[in-house]
Amino acid sequence: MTRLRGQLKVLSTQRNLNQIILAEGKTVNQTKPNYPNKPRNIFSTRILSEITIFVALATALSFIIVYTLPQGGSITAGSMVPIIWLALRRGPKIGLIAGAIHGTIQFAVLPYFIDPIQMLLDYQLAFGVLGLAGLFKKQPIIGAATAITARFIMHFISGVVYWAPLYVPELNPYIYSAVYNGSYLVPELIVSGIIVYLLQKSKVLNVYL
Amino acid sequence: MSVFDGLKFRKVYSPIHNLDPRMKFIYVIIIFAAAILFSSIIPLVVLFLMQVPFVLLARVQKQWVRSLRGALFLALFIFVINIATNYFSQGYTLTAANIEGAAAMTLRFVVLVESFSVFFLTTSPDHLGLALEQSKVPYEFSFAFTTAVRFVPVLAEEAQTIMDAQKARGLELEKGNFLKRIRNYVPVLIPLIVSAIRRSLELAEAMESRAWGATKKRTNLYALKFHRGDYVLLAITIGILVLTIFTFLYIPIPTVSHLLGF
Repeated sequence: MTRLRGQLKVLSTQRNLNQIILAEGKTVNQTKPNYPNKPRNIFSTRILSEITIFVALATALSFIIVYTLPQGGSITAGSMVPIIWLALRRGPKIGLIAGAIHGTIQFAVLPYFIDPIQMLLDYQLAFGVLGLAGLFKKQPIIGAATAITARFIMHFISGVVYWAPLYVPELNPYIYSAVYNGSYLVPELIVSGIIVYLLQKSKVLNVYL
Repeated sequence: MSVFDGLKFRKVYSPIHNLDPRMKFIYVIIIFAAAILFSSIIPLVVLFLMQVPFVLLARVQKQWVRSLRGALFLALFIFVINIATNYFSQGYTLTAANIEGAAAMTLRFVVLVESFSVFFLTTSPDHLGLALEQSKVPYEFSFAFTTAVRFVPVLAEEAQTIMDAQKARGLELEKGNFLKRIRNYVPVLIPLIVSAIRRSLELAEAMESRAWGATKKRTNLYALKFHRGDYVLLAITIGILVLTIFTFLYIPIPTVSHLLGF
């Protein structure tokens, strides 16, 4: 705006003020772009760009390790928070899609693969169900707990069906799966719960909506 | 920030990087099928060693070793649990065959992880997006995937900057017990999320100003096509497939402990 005013001044020092006001009025009342036969996209551009950035944020956070557990596992700096947060902000469907894309990137970073359905369960679906947090828009903590419990269930199923028989055939698959997945998901649940609670208190959940 | 080096977006040209991602995917699937079929150690070692020329040709040894190290924790876990269950279930005796079986299980896991890891290490996100698009995945998804991968180093750098800024104001991130650390982490996360939203607004504006989604059918400057290298890899893949099936059906594979005479 200021730049436009300056340019106009330089161009027309002798002209009257009306033209400048007219020019400014045009920039203020921006018309929405109206394509003649615009196809229906799946999302609006805003939502798509939010999905993109939050998936990238979740991936970046998943590399930052806050606390190393005694037995060797590690807790990331709330890497699920951006997805849960997006689900709380935009609803479960958007959260589900963002989670599935995040899962695909996690798969690309360190692919634990034994079966196509196992891949879906452990990555796309496990992270996708984080979008279920969007069902509880009023109670973000319940939403976060639901989301992470759903993720645990996905990992648990894949552990029982695929991992345990293949790698530890002698052990009870249910115990193995529950212990292994619980060992890193319970701390993550605590971390994410605390962070979502503090975020909700700081009212940053609905900023720029 | 060494963790993010693997994700830095850069163009690498090597015979492997230039291959069609769809062909590489078929190769990975065949390796996967072969690794599932065999449960003794010799063919698994062969499968593992088969990836080494692939990695060396693509010059991604460093990243490859790093991803090996990442898989090491779970591999060790599998190895120890296998040995322990054998040890306790068979009356506190440990035979060479047991150790070998555990090693084979672990190696199978490593082979599966590594074959996929090689695929992702040697395929640029751009190529992956193109391949997804040409396999009729909606463009929104392949766009989100490619762009998110590109944005990861940017956001990681921003997270580091915010951490440094808060540390300069006296925030202690590496001290205190578990709960205190998480509480201290919130002053980093809030600016990070707000700046991420602002970045997403900017991205949306940039996309709109380039008329994103204005046309029904997108066209690409580059189209994926099979070249000579792809046909070579196809031949290698078919060779592996035939050899695997033949070995599986007709050749009894000896175990190492049997060969050594235990």
